[in-house]
Amino acid sequence: MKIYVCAKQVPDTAANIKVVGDAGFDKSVKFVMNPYDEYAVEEAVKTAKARGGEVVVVSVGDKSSANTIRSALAVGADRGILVTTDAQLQDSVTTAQALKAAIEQDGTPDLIFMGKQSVDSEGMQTHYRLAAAFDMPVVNEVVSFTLNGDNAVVEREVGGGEREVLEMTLPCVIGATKGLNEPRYPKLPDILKAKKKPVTEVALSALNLAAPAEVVEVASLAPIPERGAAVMLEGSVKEMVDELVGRLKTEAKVL
Amino acid sequence: MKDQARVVVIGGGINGCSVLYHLAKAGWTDVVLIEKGELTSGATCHAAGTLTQFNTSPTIMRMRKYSLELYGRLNIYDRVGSLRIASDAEQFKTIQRDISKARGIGLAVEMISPGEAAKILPWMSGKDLYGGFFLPDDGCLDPHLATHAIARAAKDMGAEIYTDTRVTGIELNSGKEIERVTTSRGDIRCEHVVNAAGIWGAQIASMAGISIPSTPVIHQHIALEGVSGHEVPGDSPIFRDYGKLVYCRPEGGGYLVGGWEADPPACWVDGVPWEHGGSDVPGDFDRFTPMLEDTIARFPFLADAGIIRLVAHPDAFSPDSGPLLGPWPGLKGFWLACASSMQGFGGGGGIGKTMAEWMIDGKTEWDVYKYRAWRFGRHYADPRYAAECARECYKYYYRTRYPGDEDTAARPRRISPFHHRLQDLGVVFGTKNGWERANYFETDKPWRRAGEEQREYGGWVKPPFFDAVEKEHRAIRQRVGMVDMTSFGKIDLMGPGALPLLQRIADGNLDRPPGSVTYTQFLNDQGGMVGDVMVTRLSDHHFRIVSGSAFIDSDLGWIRSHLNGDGASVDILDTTEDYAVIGMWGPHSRAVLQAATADDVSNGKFPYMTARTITVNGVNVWAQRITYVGELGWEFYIPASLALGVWDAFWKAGGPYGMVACGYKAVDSLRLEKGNRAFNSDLTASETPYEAGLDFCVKPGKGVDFIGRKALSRIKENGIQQRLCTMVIGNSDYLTLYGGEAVVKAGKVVGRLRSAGYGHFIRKNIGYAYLPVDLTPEGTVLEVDIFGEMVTARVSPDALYDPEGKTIRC
Repeated sequence: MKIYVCAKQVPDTAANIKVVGDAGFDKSVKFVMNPYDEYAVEEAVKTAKARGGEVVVVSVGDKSSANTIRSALAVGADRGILVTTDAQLQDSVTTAQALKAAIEQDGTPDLIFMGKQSVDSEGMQTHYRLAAAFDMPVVNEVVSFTLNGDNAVVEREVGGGEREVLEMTLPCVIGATKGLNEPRYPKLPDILKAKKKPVTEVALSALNLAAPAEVVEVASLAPIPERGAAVMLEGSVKEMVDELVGRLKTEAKVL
Repeated sequence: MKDQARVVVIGGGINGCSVLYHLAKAGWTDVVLIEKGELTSGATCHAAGTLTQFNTSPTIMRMRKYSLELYGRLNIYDRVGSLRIASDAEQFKTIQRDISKARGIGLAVEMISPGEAAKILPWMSGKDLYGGFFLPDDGCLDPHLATHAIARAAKDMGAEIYTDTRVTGIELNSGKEIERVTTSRGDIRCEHVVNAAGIWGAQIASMAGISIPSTPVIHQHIALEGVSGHEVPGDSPIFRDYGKLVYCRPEGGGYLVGGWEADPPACWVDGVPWEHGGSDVPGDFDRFTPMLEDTIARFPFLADAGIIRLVAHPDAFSPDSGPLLGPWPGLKGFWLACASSMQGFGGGGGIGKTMAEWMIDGKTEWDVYKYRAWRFGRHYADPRYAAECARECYKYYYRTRYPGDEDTAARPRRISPFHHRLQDLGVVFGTKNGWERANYFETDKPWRRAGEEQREYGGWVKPPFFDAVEKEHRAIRQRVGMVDMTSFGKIDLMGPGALPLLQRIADGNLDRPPGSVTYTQFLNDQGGMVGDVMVTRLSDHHFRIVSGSAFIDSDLGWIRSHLNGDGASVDILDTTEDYAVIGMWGPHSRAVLQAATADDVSNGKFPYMTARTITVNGVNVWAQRITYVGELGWEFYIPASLALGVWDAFWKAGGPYGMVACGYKAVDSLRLEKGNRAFNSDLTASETPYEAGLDFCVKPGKGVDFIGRKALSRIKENGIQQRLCTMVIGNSDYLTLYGGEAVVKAGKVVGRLRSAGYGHFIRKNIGYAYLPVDLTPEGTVLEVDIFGEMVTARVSPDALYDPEGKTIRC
């Protein structure tokens, strides 16, 4: 089987993001593989091991995204393709086009795994766009995946503890999420071996993509306002009520 | 939030919380702590939480011992023990020496065999295992829980803690006293501010108008998963292998592996973002890989351990790795407890105790001389320079720092006017306080700057420069030698307040005629020595203090701290870089000098311990007839811009007398033979001049009260318990002695070597040690633990060369 995993490098969720200018942020923070993509990598590696085949990791991003590809190679992926871009954050239209072109240049996918969304842009669109471009079925937020002959049987949570079971034909695009598996940690010998695994770099411009009709641009970034601490009012009931009403009027301005 | 408090502590890491706790415990309960984030949201949250008492500094060892006792009392400490091993023969020798040094300062520790070590950690590979030591009282804690426990204990005693509150400014009154701290949530009037802001320490200090050298350097550790069938018990001992730069702490069935890398990067040297908090920064796995490989070689099952996370985070380090503690001279009420990351939780408890004692009683139980915040000179105000020094110190936390190795960071930083003359002579430069100084000369080789010199020549062995140093040494004893001593610290005190100030801080009598040179000490209230200087009276109201290259800023701070009311009547100037200094000694030095000057320099006109201006090559040179090396000679103080001509004049005049240029290694060997003391090793704040054999310096009857006088008179009355003695160790064969070794009598450790080395003229190994008075008589036989071997030593006269001082007075 030829299995592709699309993985994205994102700022660590624990990083302190400092907005710089209108729409930028301080890039000196730690970057990691998008956490949802880890489930995708793990499932791809497990599937390839069970069925035989190759796992190719594809990423779109700046040169440092090679680190994310290496971390996938360290847990069992076979090789990587990095579509290099000037900026890390790309519009999902462009990203999907780039992924498709890079995969097509490389081979014919039997399966494409991706995380359910990236934790930086949170667009949750790329897999749908990629599947549409390839004309493949796609299911997102998958928590269970099995192969049944040439079909994939997947489960996704639909709320209220209910799970939807779907059967899809291959090739297809799977959006992985927490619960699908327990991603393994890399081991030192595997990390060292991963350094020798091939990673191909191709510039976005070299893919000769048609300019998309419309793109999404980040107009501005702003930190989420910090949640204020609770204020404990003191005094008699009347004093506390008066204080509360006063604060609702003057501070919260809701009365 | 309070708008007034006695003390505001800034920073909610282990240090700040510990200071708060100890202040409250001592009865200062009107104290508040300000933290910009949550408690522990700085370097503290990334601490490994491992504690060892092992350290070869008496103060740090005691701090750590106290800390773990404190954490034990608060029930936040797991006493799991710790094992340090050697993985090669050289590290084994290093451990032997470290054990000798640790025993010398009172730690009970012994070398154990590879077999015994393997019993302690049975899952350890026995390959390349040379031995080590085990300390059962060592252990670990949870940094988060421990800090909160100490904070809670402080609050229970009445202290208050305000989190999510950022300090925005520190206000002083017109008398440069702390007045208030302004914060994001209001102002607090206070008498004292304690800067315990960790990696933000320099920024907080700048709010009070001062510059401190504190650099964030990135530390990395890795959490490894447990391996099925090889789970590491959570209560098993901490593991350390200094040779491989790693420590391992059991965690979750696996190991947390941390490393003291050889080339750690600094970050944000010009200011840490306030937002940074406790998040980690981008790590470098490649940098960590060799340490992880070495760890796996020792624990082979870890090859199958998943790597949960590499954590990289900045910690705060000073340029000499010691914390920055105590008050700031001239800024009343401002205190520092900064740059202590290397001490981590081991330091935390003890630093809190020390700070509280200092603030409340004005004195500390342990000798904190080396950690006083003001010890760094103005050249450290360049954060890039401070960072280079800090990175180098970090490198040597585990890596063996041989006594003969030299700093390499940012060299050359400060050079004397004679620098290029020394280069032409084949100098090997060492460095001290940023100065390039001649260690010795290789007259047949190109000049160079020494770096990891001892490591390169083979470690704990006889140095290849032994013969070169002997030649220089003998030249001074038998002919004449010249030494570039420009790095001497110099402080000029001028004005009518100079004499009263000096009389108040010095144990000697400085009220002597202009031209007099006085060897004297500065004492603390307990009579301990905190300064050791030469003071020359140039005129009625002008004195020059000459101090060791590395002590100038400590002295300046001490002097400024004791200005009392006479600040207006005395100017205190650091003139270190204004004057170049040449030392010229040896039996022919007078002849050489007389050939270079028309002034009469005969013994009658220019007696010992006097100073005056002479003219050399048309330049006015301030000449002081003093000696550290125990030969006739002078120190010459020359305006730096005119100094080269004077050097050349002496060099020319010295030619017929066989004059050579000498370095500091020869000077050290010479002064050891003469019984002359070195500050900081032989003379410290833990000893008095009486114990140091410097009775001749103390002038209690000088008619003016001085700091330490009362303590000295009590000691004089009761008699001393120990005295600094010279010992001859072994026979005439060179011994690998470096100082710090344990001194043993009948199997019991009775002290440790201070200065130690080889006397090239008398051909003996010499060591000084404070010994109990019953062991001080000449001829007393003792033993010195040199790399685990007990070598016989005999107490000898203080001076082994020219005890009557005939050569220096002739």
